[in-house]
Amino acid sequence: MDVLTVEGLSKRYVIGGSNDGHAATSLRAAIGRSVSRTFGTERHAGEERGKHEFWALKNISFEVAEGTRLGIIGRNGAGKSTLLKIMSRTTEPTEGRLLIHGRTASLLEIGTGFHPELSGRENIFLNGTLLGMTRDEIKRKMEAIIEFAEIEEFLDTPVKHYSSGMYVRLGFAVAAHVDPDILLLDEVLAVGDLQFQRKCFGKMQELGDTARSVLFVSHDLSAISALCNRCILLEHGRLVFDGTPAEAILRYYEHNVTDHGELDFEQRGVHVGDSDAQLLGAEIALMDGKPALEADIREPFRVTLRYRIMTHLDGPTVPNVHFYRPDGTCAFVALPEGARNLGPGEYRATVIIPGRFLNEGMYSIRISLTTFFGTHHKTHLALPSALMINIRDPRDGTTGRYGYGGQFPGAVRPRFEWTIGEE
Amino acid sequence: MRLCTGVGAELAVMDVPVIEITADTGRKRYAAEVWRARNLIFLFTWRDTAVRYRQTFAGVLWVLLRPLVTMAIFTLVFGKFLKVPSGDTPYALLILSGLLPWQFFAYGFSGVGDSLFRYSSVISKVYFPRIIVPLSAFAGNVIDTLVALMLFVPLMLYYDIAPSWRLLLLPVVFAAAVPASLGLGLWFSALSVRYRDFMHITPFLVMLSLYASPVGFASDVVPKHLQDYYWLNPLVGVINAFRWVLFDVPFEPPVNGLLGSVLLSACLLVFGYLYFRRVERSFVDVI
Repeated sequence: MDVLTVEGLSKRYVIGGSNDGHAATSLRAAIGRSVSRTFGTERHAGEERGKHEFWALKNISFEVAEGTRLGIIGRNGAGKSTLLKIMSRTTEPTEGRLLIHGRTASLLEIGTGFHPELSGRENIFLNGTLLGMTRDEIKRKMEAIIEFAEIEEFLDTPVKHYSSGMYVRLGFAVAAHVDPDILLLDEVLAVGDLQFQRKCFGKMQELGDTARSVLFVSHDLSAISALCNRCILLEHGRLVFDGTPAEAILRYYEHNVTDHGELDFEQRGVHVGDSDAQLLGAEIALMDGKPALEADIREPFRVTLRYRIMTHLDGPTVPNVHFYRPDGTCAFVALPEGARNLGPGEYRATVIIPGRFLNEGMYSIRISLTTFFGTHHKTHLALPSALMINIRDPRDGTTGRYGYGGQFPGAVRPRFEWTIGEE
Repeated sequence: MRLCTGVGAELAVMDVPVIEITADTGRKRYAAEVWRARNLIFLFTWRDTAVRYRQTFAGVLWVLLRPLVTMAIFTLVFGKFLKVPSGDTPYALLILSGLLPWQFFAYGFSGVGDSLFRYSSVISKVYFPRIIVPLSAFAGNVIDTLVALMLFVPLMLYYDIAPSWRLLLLPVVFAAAVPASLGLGLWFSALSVRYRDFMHITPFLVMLSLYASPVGFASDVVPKHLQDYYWLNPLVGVINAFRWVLFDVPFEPPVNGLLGSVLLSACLLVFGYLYFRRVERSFVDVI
């Protein structure tokens, strides 16, 4: 069953406008405007109209079924937050409509209405009521909330004496106990200490598993791919992609490529290379041979290149792959050792990238074919961003994170042998 | 179909409600939404009142101290130095009986007026009918007034004035000040979201209303032929009625003036409310 239906949703803001936008302005400016309008001396008609309209969302439509954990990604200003705001009803759409079956709660509202002078317990009531719980419901869940927030001793202390961590924990604890049918999340994992981050992540997963729906807006694409089972991509207020998180994240980095995971230049009749050698195709596949856009961080996968050598060359022609991070850093280059001079013919080269080696997140792969002549080398082709793969860390406690909820820095995240003993 | 985001969602437990959100969601079924969110009125009122009474070191005393000090100064200036006549009523009581209705009006108006700003962080994050905020601000003012009314107990004992059956009319008298106070407040709260300058106009109007009302004197010091105009100020009727309730002084309103003030109060409330509702939907996009 669909719990959420969005139909043709649009939201317009008028920037600096006086009429529809109701933008805050000074009284003098408003009076001045109406005076000049009355006397027809309005000189800057263009400027007046030029208060530009801005469509934060334009004609968005999608449905969300029960149990979906939907990621919403897009660059700054793409309309992600506006969409959540409309869902939580803090702002109204300009056009279109939205149908919600059930109760929504949003973690945009962490600690909303908290008053620093009131105690933790009082603020639980305040915040809980604002989030839509009844008095009885709050009383019933009070113990669970206190336990989740880990603030037992400070329950009757005014929250102004709380540390920022305690404050956030209390806010999340209340919101997490609203028992919503749809939970709206906006970058919440960036808060709190590590242990608490894991707890929040667990709670979110639990909500998704119990057939609740989660809508998750984040810039942390790795968190999206770990948590969500579907993802939409917004660009300039429009929905440009709706599908698996891996595909959406690919689209986020690269708009036009449609065939990541598998490239077949031969079939397409495209010539990639020079007169000596050319690339026929390339693919990324899991160990069972299935082409893939995504690999589990624990599992190996293989990159296969098919190429043709047309002429006799004076040295070995070596296929090589360059793995790049989204920020443009080259993570590493892989090429075979001891490649022989094979002469004209068609060849297939496969490299296995081991599990627990790459970091989570997106890698784009540049494919190259190079002949080494001893004193110099010749690059027959270099195809940037030929393939892409999203490495997914399930963040379920099996990937050596010790509960860390963020993205590990680094181009790779290899697992090495460690020995730790007492001195 | 039932509206139930945020507040009022308690009804969602048994059956699955459907919320439809469109460009004019907020305008439909407003009364029902306010009713469902009535808990919030109590909650906000309690929050602000509890904080106010807890925060100030003197607690409740502060609410009593304000009118008490003003009363002392007025008594000194008007009663002792200027020797303004107060009829049979002791001067201190005359002042206090003018001061409390005026405070009720003025603090109600100014409290409601800046309520949306005080609540902007909540408003921008959670949905509920926005009118809840000014309504609870006004409710807080009612509580303050009830506390301040306690001042009369020792003073009337001291001057040995026993209240009559008319004391029962006290709620009616104060209720008569509500439309003007709340209406102006609603109007200003919405205006000050759009035009920030209105924040600065409020204190000026509060001061003006003090001198335009018979707080420091009995209203018959105003010349006869101006009485009708004077009574247009809703506070003139309210303060005179309050004195009639407490001290058995005559209450003889000029008909035209009284009708005019009733009409004016009604207009303030209606237009204040309508303006608030018109601007309400765009608060978040502005705040």
